[in-house]
Amino acid sequence: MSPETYEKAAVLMRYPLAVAGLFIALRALYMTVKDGYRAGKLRQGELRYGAVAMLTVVPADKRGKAQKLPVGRNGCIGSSTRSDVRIKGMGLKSRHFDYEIRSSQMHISPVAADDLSLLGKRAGEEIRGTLVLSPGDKLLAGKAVISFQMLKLPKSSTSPMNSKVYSAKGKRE
Amino acid sequence: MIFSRLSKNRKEAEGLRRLLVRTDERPLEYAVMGFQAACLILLSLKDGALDTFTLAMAFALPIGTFLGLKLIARFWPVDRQMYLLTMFLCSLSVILLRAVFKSTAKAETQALYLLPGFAALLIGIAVPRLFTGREVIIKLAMPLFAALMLLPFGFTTSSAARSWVRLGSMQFQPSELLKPALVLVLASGFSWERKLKGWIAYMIFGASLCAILLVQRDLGAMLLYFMLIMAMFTAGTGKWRLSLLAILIAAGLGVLFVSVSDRVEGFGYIATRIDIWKSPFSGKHEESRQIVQGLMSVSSGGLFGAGLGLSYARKVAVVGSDYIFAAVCEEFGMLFALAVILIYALLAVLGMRQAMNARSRFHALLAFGCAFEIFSQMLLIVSGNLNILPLTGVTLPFVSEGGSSLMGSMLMMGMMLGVSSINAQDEYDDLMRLTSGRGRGR
Repeated sequence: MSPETYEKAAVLMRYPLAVAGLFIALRALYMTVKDGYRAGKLRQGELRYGAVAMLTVVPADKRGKAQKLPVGRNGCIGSSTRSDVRIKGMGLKSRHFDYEIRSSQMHISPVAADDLSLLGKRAGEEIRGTLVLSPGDKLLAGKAVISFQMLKLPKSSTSPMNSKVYSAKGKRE
Repeated sequence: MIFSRLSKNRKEAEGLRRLLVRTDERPLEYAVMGFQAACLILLSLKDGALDTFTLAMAFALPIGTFLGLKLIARFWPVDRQMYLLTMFLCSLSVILLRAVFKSTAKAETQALYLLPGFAALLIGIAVPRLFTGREVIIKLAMPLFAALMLLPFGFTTSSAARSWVRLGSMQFQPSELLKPALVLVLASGFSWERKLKGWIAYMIFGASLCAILLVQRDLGAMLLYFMLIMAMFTAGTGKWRLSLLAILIAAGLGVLFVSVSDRVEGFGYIATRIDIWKSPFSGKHEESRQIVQGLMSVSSGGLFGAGLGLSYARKVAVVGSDYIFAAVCEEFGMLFALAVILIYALLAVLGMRQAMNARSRFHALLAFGCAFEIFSQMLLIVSGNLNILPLTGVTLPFVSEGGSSLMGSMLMMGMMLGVSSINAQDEYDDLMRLTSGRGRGR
């Protein structure tokens, strides 16, 4: 190719290449924004797939990273992969305690936990056997302060899963 | 397939698929591959006779981008968008070096660096998956990292730059390779230590690296290191007042040092650089030629550029590393240059998003540190090229010529991708747990 021909080709290609660069940047921007909305919708979608409450986990020393975890009607909370709700790095045992949500209250049965205590308004309350938490109550387990809030189910839920009732062992009744 | 397992209702399965699966990255992938191929095919015809190396790269780069994505995604659910944007920037480096210079040597070298660069990316992905931040080896590695930074004193090059290590025909810059190491150490320290006395060891480590860079007269890297340390300290500990105090003290010391720098041996160039920055067109200093040529290069590209291979950016001194952004402006135009800046901003946003979604403090700080470092480095070099700030000699991540810079940047991008893969798995585990009633974990 002669230098003059190359020069004409390069000058012509300026526009498609600039457009390509803009397309790449703008497409990436579109994906970033859309995935941000997706994350929000995922939270709403969780309601349709069995989430009934949102667990808030805050490190007791208030200098760590708080987490919000959607949870189902029952399960086990601990630090290992054998738990249903895995909370890492906050001093929990591998299977710390079982929970079950009934009538907007969380019933807690310690599995390996021997360090559960209540904070806030119910601080100092003695814990014997099963503990019943209401939304907003704070439980200290290991080095994590755990509280929960009930999620509002959509009025017309078509998901058959919302009508299922699970026993404490995760089996459908 | 998994969505139909999770829900027998087809509509629900489709809804779940949309929630779980991110936006289709294929248009972005094809655009990046098409851009790489188009630029390199055109450049292969630049010199009259067909340049076989450039033509080979026109096929190898897009195929490498495609296969690299398939390979990584096969094993880890990384953020594919981040990977594709990184590959776009890496290929831009090869394209620019081929376009700006008459010889193909620099482009060939940079293209060869992409292979170890990809390996560094894979290592970076593995790091957050293997480490939780509590490992003693991270603490024990601190003296080793400091020793690596001291290497240039034993292997100084013949030039005035004392931040390079020359081993035979190879040379590398330890400060570039140690940036990801610094991020890893600080993320470990500030995530697990809870008290001031625990943080002090890490602050001393960071300060010692900055001091070594000061002695090496690599002030650009020292500034980057300092900004990174302060940012990670603030993010990790929440002690913003302490950080602000440290920044104010450092700024005061900096101003004082600059005012007496012409009396300190080896630092007389600082006053010259400030003078040139204030009035680049005065012609008082010979060194102002680089900045003036750089500014002219930026402006002469117009909106759409001079055309690939038609610019005079090679006339700008050290255009391959320090003034690569000026080459982007002249070759591709201002619109394209703005797109490149937007891409860096998006990489930072995506990195911060991964940091916010991470389930552990260590991973959150790791992603934050990498995103902050890449973005602040871009800001420094682009500001220097546009004479908004004095030129500091740092490189444009992924785009600037040089193996050390590419390795360091790829390691940091790899760590961000590693955190993104952990976040994606945690998200999947959440939904599997909700729908199946039992956690599967990782």
